[in-house]
Amino acid sequence: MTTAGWVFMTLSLAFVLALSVFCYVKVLRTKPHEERTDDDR
Amino acid sequence: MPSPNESPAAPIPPQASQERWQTRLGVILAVAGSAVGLGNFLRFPGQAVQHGGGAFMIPYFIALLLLGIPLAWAEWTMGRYGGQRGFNSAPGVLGVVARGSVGRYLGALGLLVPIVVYMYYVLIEAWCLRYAWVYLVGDVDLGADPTRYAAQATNLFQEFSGSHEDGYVFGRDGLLFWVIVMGINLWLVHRGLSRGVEAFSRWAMPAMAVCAIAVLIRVLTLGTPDPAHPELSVSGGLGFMWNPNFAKLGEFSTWLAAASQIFFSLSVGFGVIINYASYLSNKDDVVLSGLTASATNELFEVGFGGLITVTAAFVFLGASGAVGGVFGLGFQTLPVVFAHMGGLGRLVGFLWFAMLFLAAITSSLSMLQPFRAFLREGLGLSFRNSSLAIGVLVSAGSLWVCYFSRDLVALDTMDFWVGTLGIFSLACVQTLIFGWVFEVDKGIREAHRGASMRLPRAFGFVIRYLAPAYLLVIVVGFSVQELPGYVQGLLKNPTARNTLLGIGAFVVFLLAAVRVAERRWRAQGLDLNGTRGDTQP
Repeated sequence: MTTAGWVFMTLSLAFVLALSVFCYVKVLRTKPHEERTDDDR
Repeated sequence: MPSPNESPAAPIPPQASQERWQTRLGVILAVAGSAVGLGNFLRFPGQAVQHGGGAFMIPYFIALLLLGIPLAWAEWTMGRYGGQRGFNSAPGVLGVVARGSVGRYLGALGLLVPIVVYMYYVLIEAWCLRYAWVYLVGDVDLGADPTRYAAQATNLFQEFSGSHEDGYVFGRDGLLFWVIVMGINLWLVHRGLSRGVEAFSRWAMPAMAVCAIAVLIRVLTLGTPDPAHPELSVSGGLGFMWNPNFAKLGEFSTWLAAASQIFFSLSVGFGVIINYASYLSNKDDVVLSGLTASATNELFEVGFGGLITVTAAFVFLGASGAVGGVFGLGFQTLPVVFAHMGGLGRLVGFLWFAMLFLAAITSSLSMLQPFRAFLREGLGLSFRNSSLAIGVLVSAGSLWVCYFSRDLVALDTMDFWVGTLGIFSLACVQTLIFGWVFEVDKGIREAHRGASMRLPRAFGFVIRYLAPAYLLVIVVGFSVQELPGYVQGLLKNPTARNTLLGIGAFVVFLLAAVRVAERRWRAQGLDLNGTRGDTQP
């Protein structure tokens, strides 16, 4: 694998990983306005 | 007491308001599960290798930022807007968003696409389950001669899919696995949104990630299995996938492939997000949820699909074995790779196909919900009867695909005319409705309701001008590339022709059903054009 290959792979993985971590941290830290307990039928 | 943001004068269909997501994480995982499918693990790496390796990621990420995520946000926003007015199905939602009958009839595409795609997708899902099963019980034998592995793997695929003879899988185990998969899907959908789809997605998505991580670890620790061929190594495989070929960036087909991959991968224009988002409350965060679902899909696609498939195939089979389409790479090449792995290959094979099965079932589940929502709110069917009607309809369509299995013509015909052109069409419709009829400023205000983060400032410009133009270029480019071949196929192959006729008849039925629903909603005094008590800024 060439250096450019490593760079593209690392940057791509870092981007999707960082985006996912950012989103899930935000989702899990933000308190949902309500948790529903009612049956959906 | 109704909140100031709701339309007090508009009664909502009694069936529509009963179903709700239980948790925010649940809806995110359900949407992400809908998006993550076989294409993430099989189509993406194949496209990347063919179109410049690492360089492919430049048009890929541009398409993600300019087309995929903005379209997803628009769908989430329109879905919740329609849901707040009591509609969960695409005709109902697009009727209130576009304020009239045109949106409602175009919304029939949001019923057509998921239900027809389900008819063939469930078949592929049954193959995945059957492969996982035979690897689990040790019933896979490609022989002792490595030079015969490829031929044996092809025979196995033909045995499972019947791709060499019409009607082959009838009366064999293939139909048994089809029945099992169909039963699981219908049962989960019948359990309801939160107890079926959401509950299943909440464990299936992490389970899929565990399988993917296990397979990834094994692939990345393969080293150089054959010392006589030191070039066939993990590093060589990763290089084959990721080394950039910048010359490919000058080719239109590379940009088209990248945009198409993003488009199909995120499930935008599929009719699912608009339905799922309609079950959200006014205070739910559609911006963060939409972005998180898209990010999850990308993590599976780039993080797992980009590292596992091509690398594994290259290590054992070299460059010629590491390219291929979805079915070739996933169901014929990788079994050869697992056979080369020896004893551990059985476990890795099981984990691989279990992962594909979970990816497929979380997608197929989402395809049934939009049509069921329409049957309930549009035609007034009860919970039980709507499940029954869906079961009969999709079984009939899927058995057609099952029977006409030779060269997978019926499957391929549905995939092109509905699973590709239908999705493009619905995406165009939704983008134009959001950007030009619903109005961007109103759409942004609606998206920000309950949101913990703001949409980027460029969103308005992107969704109004850039995304439609981008989509138009893709549609035209794709049609020029693919349409002539499929039109010729229709002329030559009666199965393809009859399949398209069946799809046409179903379209007519859907339009008639939307007409009936429209009359029912009017008779009930519903605000079906979304003109009463609009949302506040």
